[in-house]
Amino acid sequence: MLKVRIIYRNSTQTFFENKYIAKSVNLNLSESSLKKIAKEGIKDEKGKRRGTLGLDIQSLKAIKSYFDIKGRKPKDIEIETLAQTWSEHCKHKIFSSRIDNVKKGLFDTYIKGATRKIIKKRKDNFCVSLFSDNAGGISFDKKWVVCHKVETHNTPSALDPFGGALTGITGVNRDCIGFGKGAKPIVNTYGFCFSNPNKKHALYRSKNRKDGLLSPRFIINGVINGVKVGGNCSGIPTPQGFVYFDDGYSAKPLVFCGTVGLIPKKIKGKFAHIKKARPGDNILMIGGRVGKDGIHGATFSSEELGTLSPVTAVQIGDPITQKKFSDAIIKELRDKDLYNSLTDNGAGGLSSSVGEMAKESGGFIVELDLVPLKYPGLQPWEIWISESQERMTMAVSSKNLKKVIRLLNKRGVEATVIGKFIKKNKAIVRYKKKEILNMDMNFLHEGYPRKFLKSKKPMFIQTKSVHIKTKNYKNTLLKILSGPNITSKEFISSQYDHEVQGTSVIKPLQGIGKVFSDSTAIKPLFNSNKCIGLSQGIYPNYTSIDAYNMAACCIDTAIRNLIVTGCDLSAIALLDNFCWCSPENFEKLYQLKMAAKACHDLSLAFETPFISGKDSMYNDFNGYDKKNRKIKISIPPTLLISSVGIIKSYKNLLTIVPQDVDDLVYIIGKTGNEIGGSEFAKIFAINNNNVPQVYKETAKENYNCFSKANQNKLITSAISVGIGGLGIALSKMAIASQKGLKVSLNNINTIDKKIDNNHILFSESQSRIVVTVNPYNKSRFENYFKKNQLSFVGKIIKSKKIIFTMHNEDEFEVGISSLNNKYRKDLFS
Amino acid sequence: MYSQIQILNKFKTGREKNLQLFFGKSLIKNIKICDIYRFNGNLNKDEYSLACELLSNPISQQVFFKNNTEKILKKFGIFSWILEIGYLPGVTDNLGNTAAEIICERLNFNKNNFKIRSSQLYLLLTSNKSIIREITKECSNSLVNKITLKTFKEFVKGKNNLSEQHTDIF
Repeated sequence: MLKVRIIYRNSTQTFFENKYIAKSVNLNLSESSLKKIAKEGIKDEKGKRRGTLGLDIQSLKAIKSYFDIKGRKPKDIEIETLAQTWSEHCKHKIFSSRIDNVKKGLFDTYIKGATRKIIKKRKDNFCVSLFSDNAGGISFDKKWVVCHKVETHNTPSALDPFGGALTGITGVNRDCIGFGKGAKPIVNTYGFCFSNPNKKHALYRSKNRKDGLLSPRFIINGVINGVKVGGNCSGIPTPQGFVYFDDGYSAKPLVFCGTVGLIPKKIKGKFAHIKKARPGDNILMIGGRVGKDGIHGATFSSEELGTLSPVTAVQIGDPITQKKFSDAIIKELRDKDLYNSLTDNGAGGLSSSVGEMAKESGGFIVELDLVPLKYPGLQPWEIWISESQERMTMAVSSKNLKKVIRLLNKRGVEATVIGKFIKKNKAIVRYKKKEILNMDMNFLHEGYPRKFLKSKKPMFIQTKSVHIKTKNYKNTLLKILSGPNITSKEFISSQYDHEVQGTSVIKPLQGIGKVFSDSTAIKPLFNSNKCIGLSQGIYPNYTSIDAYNMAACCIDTAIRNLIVTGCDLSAIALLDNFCWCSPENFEKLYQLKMAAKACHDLSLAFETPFISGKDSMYNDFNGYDKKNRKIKISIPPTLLISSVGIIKSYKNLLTIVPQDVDDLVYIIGKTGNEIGGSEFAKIFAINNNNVPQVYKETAKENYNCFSKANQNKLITSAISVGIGGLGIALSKMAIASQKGLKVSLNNINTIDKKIDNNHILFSESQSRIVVTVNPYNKSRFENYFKKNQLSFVGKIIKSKKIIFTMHNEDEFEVGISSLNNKYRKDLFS
Repeated sequence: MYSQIQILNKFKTGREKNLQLFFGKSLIKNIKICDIYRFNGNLNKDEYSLACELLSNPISQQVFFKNNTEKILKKFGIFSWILEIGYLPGVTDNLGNTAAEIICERLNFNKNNFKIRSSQLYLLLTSNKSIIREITKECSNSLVNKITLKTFKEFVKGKNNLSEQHTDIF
């Protein structure tokens, strides 16, 4: 019999007297009845459905078979627990299932597979913790480990943008605090994919114009505000991010939230990234209390947004409560080695956190009566799966329990023992002295039926290569510059505190012209010169044309953005976030497969390992328009590749800001007619399938040469050529420095023999970097590169304009003041 | 005894300007946004004064209460509608929680017994009632917010106590 000693209990704790404890659920039903249970949930006492389980028929049948063998019907809390644990959100079934001939699934074959090969090849200690913990860890120096995790919070942000985004950022902070024995969150990152804020759409979740979706403007304001409150109120800098606009996100925005953490390599002689709950350890729940907020969050995020999306799944985070326990863990407990394991209470609540940690010891016994509640009236299954925020679960030995609770209480953190970890492979939950859940741990985690997914190659329609004959280059440049994907995001960075903790080195706004940066860097330790660089790559516009090259471009851009900041290729790690649509769409599934394959190929070619990732499927909306017509909107399948790199010294850091007049301007890499999916193609509504390709080997060679030249102080500034192309990159340099440029683009290295001037300016060909070099270092710099990879194009000039010369004696110039005005165009106008 | 604190910015805030700009001055002729902190108990005069000091800035903000509502609001022009946006029960109210923590620390109240719910009062002058629906859409989310609407007269007459019930104003 488990004896739980209540060490801390609040005097006002109220226990509701609920006669209901747990009921058996009959699964011996027809397929249609089972489908109803899966989609709408188990019936409550009043006959009302509780909300989606997100399970498929096969899973319900597997549950039935398991309990048939046990000789009883499953209890409601058991089904709810399995629904959480087996949800797409927690188990990533699409990524772990066989797809076509990829037998071990996309994750194991392509993502983890590439990292496995890289580790074998590199034979260094760069990777510390991979895919097993709340975040991925890489070595910072001999004493410290850096961890990074990027999460998505898309569906909650569609329902309540502020609460959804706030919970997203505080949630990923907890992932970082829950890495190993607890990493200190040192930087937040963000990424938003929105629909055009100035477009009015009328979409409804229900018929007859009921349950209208929020306007893009409301979503944008709410999401930006949510991340601001989460980051600023927690005292964590938020320097790095991006915003991408496409009308495909009109029904569902994408909200990416990331956190980087720092943890000592060893604590009291033991590796800090390794944790293990031991049999006999107490299960200690710390932080906020449990309410009805967030119930069915994990299961509903595994489904399409529609009429049945539960509003209880919306939560609002509380960064102040979280800050208290974050400080208590990092500043009071961790370095004293007082606990054996900890993890975050996120999706699935206690059912997920206790269930995951119990894998380390064997099993668990939980007494639900002991869980402190926000208010009375919660049923046991609700307490067990509630996703009330700001909570973590710890495994603490009885010897250290009093001390741990005293230190937590000292920081105003509530801590309650709710059970024990045991050796036996059993998951047991009790309520009012009755056993309401009893399952084998193996079934809980591995009992879900494996899928066999099949994909279909989309019909490829080869379109003719279209050439826009316009020679109004200046207007085109200004139009692209003022597009929502390129314009300044200063209004966001200026709200997000990037100076707190005093570590910011490369800041989110660069130069006197305050250009929104693609990459930032921090120097996390006062006694070390080393820095951490952060960036990302994202090209959702390419997916429908070529998913493989889309993913390749994302990886190349994420890496290149760090290379131009001063990071070596060998010190970069990657994180993946796949946001895709329902797998019932076989063509989208094919795109997913190809994108994952590109991740494998590119990661391997650059030898940059994936250390963590998270996928979010079912980003579809099923609803109605204002004429009551059924409508389905799916997001453009989106892959975010985040990159984190360790920079040897702050002395190697580079910005995009050219330093002196007469500095020489070079382009590294080749330019092609690759305008498919580009901003240029968007403006002229061109159907062009020529999406940029990544030439891995030359790119790798160029990046390594760039780093060597930079280490020898031969480069004064550099910018990665990304969305918008060369014209935009050069414009950003001019805006940042408020200095002019005179460039001649008629002799640059090109991929194709014939190239149009518009394509030179606006093609988004990958692996290109624009650099400025002091004229004294001309020959030394040029010696680092092959002639066919380096183009000398001009110099920095005093006059405040950019003068472009191109093929066919085409020339134009544009003033920096015009560039400034367009770059700062109000997004909401 | 006092059960709530109402704080008004003396100067036009960015939020007020933005809303007026977004809808146009012809539709929103006058606007003031006021913060309300409601306690789950009553404070005596001394406690109330101290709480007001803690939650407001005497230079840029003005506290008003039951008896001086009309007098204070007159300084800011004429209003026709009062829209209150708060949180539905059970929804995390960070502003309220932080305010409660500040007051508990200073007045030595038990944190578990003293609670505050925050909300925002939009004082509006508009001749077009339908614009209030648009303002509500712009400033709230019916999934998490409690929305209440009163005429200014009702508000002043009722000594600024808005209904505690969630009202579907439209």
